[in-house]
Amino acid sequence: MKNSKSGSRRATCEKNSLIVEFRDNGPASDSAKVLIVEDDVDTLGFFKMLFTSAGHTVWGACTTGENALSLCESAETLPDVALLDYRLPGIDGIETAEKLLALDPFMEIVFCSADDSARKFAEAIGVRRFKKKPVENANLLRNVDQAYKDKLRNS
Amino acid sequence: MSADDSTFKVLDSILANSQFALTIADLNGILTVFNEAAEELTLYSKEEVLGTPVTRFYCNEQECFDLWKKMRRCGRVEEYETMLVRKDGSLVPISLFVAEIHDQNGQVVGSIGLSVDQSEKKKLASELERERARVSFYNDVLRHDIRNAVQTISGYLQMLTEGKRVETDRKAIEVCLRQIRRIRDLIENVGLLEKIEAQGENISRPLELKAMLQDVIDLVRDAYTDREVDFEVSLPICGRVLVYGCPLLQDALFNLVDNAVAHNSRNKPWVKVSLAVDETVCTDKPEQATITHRITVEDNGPGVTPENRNEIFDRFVKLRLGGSGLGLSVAKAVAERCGGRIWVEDRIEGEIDRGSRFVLELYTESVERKELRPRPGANSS
Repeated sequence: MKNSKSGSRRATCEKNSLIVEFRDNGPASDSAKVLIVEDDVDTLGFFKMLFTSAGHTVWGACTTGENALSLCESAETLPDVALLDYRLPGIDGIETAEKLLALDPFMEIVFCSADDSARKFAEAIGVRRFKKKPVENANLLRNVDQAYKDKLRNS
Repeated sequence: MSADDSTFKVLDSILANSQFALTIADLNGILTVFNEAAEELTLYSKEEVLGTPVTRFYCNEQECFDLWKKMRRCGRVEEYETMLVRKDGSLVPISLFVAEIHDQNGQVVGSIGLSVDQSEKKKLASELERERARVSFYNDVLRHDIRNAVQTISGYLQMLTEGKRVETDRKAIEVCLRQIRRIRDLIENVGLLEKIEAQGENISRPLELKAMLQDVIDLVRDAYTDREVDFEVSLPICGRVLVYGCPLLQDALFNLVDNAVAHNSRNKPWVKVSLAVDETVCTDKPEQATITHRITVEDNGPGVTPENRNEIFDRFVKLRLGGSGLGLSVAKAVAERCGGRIWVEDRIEGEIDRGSRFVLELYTESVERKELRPRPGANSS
């Protein structure tokens, strides 16, 4: 699934757009484009502020997986890192992650959920970054930074 | 008395006093012994079944033959769980022990069966299972929602202590307060649901609705001093409005009104609480009437889509919808405990985004106007 044709093509587009971004902005490699999917609006607001204050770009902030997917499907460039909750109205975080990875197999996923039982589902789809809420700000930022570095290395 | 006579007396006594339903059948499966416990379990009398095939107690004959074959292979079958067909056609779960009976030469001459009624055990097991599921559900909700709230509270506080400006600090503190309030309401509502589920007996008492609604509005108003909320109240002008109901009705109404504000992200939430009393007189018995107390809570919030209108009251579906609070589940449980009903509709039909109307109706039958009686069926658990 991750190596589907559409996924590769999109990944290539993403790669090119990243290169353009580097040329335009110089060494901007420490600033990731982050997509946040979190149904609690207060927590969503907090994550937005946390990542912005750490110098990242909040590419998108959605309360449902469906919204996140339609945002990605209509976008020219995709986010580098998606921070996903697990329990969401409609499709859950795992299904959202699978569909995001189908769009871009190089997108890095970080789960941040209060439901630890979802960890095994995340591992089953190859996502190893799973943070159980509540997580310290520094820990979450470190994980997103690391995910972004992996994204740059892999794509 | 001969040794044989004495043995028979002992056997008779065992048969009569046994707690087990004891049956003996010959090689053709024809019943030859049927004790009192077996009569009690199957509802057949000894006279009705002796000399008839044992297959009548099984749901199908094949099961009986298979059991017989298994017994012949092993000599006995222990703890065989099956359903026994009683005389009235009802089924009862039993645990069965069957063994071969041999004569002096070691030849098989029949079988003995001992059955134990498992219905009580099964009932207890299923009650235990339900209880476990309930505890695990509340545990899960508490853990999940408290972790979520702590994430936001601790996250903002960490940023503030690190000296990072957080939009406006005031906003961050407001969010933290809201999350703390959420935890408090959650704990409160879990406690209420437990209370409702635990109280099987009649807990109704007279309640005065006008004062109760006014109290509820004051409570919600106090909870949102940081927001400008426009409350409108429409109560009957006449004196006191009494109903029989569960005292937790106030908590249910609080949840409805609180919900109307909490889920309303407009700058100026508007909530209208109304109470109307209708009396329907029976046409054939003019002295009897049903009084309907209709409490409505209207808002200008985001509305509820038709597919979610039942689900928002169901605490087990709530998590799937991504919501957290149990407030509406409490409201529904209380309404049902009072023999009433609750539902949600568009405030303006067909225009979801113009807000919702939550309706809670309570019914009272009166013989005479001044006398109030709970409607039959109300308060039953």
